[in-house]
Amino acid sequence: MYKKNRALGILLTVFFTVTVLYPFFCLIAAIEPGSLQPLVESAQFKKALLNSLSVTSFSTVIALAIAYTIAFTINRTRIRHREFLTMLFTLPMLIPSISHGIGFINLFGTNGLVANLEIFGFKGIVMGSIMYSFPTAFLMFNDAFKYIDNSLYENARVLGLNRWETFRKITFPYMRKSFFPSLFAVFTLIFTDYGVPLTIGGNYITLPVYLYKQVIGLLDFSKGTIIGMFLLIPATVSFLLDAFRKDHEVNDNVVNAYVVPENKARDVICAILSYSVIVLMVAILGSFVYLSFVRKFPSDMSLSLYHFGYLARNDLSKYFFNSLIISVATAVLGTTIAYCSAVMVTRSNNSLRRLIHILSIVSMSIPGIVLGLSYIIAFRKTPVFNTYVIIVICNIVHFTSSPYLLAYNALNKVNKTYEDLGATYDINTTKITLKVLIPVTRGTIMEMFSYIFVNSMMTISAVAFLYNSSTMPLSLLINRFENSLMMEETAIISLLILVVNLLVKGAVYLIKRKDAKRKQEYELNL
Amino acid sequence: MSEFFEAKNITKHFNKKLILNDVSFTVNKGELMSIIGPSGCGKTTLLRMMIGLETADSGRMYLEGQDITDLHPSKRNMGIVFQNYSLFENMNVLENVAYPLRNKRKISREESVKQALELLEMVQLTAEQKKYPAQLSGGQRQRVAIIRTLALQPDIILFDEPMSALDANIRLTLQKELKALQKRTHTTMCYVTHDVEEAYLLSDRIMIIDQGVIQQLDTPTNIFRNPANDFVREFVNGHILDKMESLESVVPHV
Repeated sequence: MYKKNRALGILLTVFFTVTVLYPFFCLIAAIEPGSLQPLVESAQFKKALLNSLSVTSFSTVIALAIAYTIAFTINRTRIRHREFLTMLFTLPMLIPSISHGIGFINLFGTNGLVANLEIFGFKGIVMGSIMYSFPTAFLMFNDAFKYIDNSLYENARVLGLNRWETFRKITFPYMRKSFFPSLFAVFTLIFTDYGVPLTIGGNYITLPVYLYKQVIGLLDFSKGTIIGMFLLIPATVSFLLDAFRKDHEVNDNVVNAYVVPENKARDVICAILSYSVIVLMVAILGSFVYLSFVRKFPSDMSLSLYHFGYLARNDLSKYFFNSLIISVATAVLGTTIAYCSAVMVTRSNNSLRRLIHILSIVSMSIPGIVLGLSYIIAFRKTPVFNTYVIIVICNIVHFTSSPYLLAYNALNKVNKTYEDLGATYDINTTKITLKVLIPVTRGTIMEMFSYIFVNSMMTISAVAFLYNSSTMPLSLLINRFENSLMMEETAIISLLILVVNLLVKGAVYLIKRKDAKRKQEYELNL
Repeated sequence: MSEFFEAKNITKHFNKKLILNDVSFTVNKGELMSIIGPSGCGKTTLLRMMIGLETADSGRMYLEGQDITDLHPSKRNMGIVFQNYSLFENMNVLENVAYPLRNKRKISREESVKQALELLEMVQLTAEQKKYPAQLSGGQRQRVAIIRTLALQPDIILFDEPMSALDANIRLTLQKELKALQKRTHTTMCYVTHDVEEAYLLSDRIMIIDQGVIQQLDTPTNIFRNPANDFVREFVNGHILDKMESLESVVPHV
């Protein structure tokens, strides 16, 4: 038992060292001496940095405001279908960021379906970035609202506090816990994204686009690496703040759910604001559906299935299966690695467990574009380069930190004496894991799997540096067709990714709902 | 009763802090010995060392004269009932008893189920066999945990504050049941508790520990009548005074 534990600990440490630390050191080593100052002092770099900072700051503020309003609407109003709306608001998380940029071009671009608003540049990036990032903050705010016990509000009423005082003394302190993590998460997401600015940015170059062009276009790895270091800054700050947060533990002992008082004016205002966002989201998705059936946008708007046939004749199935292979492999292996790491860290005395914990979450601070760059530098001369293996490994590193934390939290809540009991009955850790821990944390495992699968299906950041013609995933086709102004094909592919992701998320939702229902039935039978 | 289990000169540190200091004692066959003391005195650590879940820095342990100090917990033929019962939440009552039995005894599923059903009948839990731990009351969970441990007919059963989470009425019923079960099966038991009254009611002998040292190991009557030192006197009397105060708050001038 102990030997197996030690072997697994060593295996995980070696895996993270080779896949996280080694590429990162290669990245730093790739910086040519003396190349930092000329780049940093160049007008192009200064402009890109300034552009990135201004577009990110502006988008972050608006995205947070929208996310808070929606979370408030879901948790503090009586509008109907709130569960369905919650799911709807997370839809933008299921398509690549590049698709959001394209969606706004379809609606408001030069030949926009709705209007011609000259959106290329700052305005367009802001719109696309908000749409792409607000669901992340919404989920965090939504969680924070759920963990405020109603008895606090009842006490406030008994003490005679007015609405402002109640907000200041109760709601705000609770929401503050999720405000800064949301702020950093959204800021980092927008600051490091190149999908939206690449499509809708026009001549407004941001840092990630500048990096992308230096590496993909000019093969200047040294310059790319320095830019990558700048992209790491907000992610690293966010990671460190999160790691040292004192209120990390979520209070899940909410006894009384919040009772929403009746207030029609509030409900109407919030409903208008929230449904406006939904209308925009639906319009973007609707533009994809519409364009999928248009003969030639914008010159011939007659309906046709031509583009489906075109994609079928041009190996769409090959790219689709590439994406499925990569996503399934990443999800299966990523879930296994994240779960094993979490079991090792939470349920064993292995001396490597602290190191494994840090290595498991450190990749969270590496943006995809930087990770991809580090992989091309570290592994381009190895046999795994230009294969599925490198893409899968890169995706595993890119997407397993959050699932690891999900497993870490879930396993920490499972009875800690199972292993002790097992030791007295000759039931080893492997058996306890298979017979007890996995069944008990089934819901978490499914969440982990779907998170990794969905992100692998739509990622473009890291894999943009690692694919070749035979391993190219579907998401990267969007960029290729967009460059050729084949908007109908980008629409079909965006929808295809959305449908696959929806199917996976839907399946997980249904299984979890069935589990919850069964549990409820047991409790009712008591 | 004869000496059955023996601990000799056991010492244990955690992070350089002394937890048990040269502790030696014996447990007689068929007796129920309680281990009591203030929080952090080392009583749970001692219990975990007896079953092999912790290792001693120095000292030896013997069961029927055989040195078991370095034996894996599964090789010691001892059972343990934890404070939180440690029932597998994804298995029903029957499986909670049958699975460990099947695993340790290497018997067939049918045989393990048959034996588990017989044991469940003994504690009147046959009707609950298909229920999951979340559907049981605290007392029922406790019974399942005890019967699961008894199933393997261990030489000694160790209890780590198993009734601390139960309310007073259920606790009293279970204490009586446990005592009756122990008399019926002649099982040797070591029982860690912080409740002096519980120890007094259940035990043949009581061990009082403080700061890693045994302060007194004697029959309940002797401990109350002839406390070995000031600590034992204050610990026992203090507990009784606490009880009196709580009783007085309910029934004035008691």
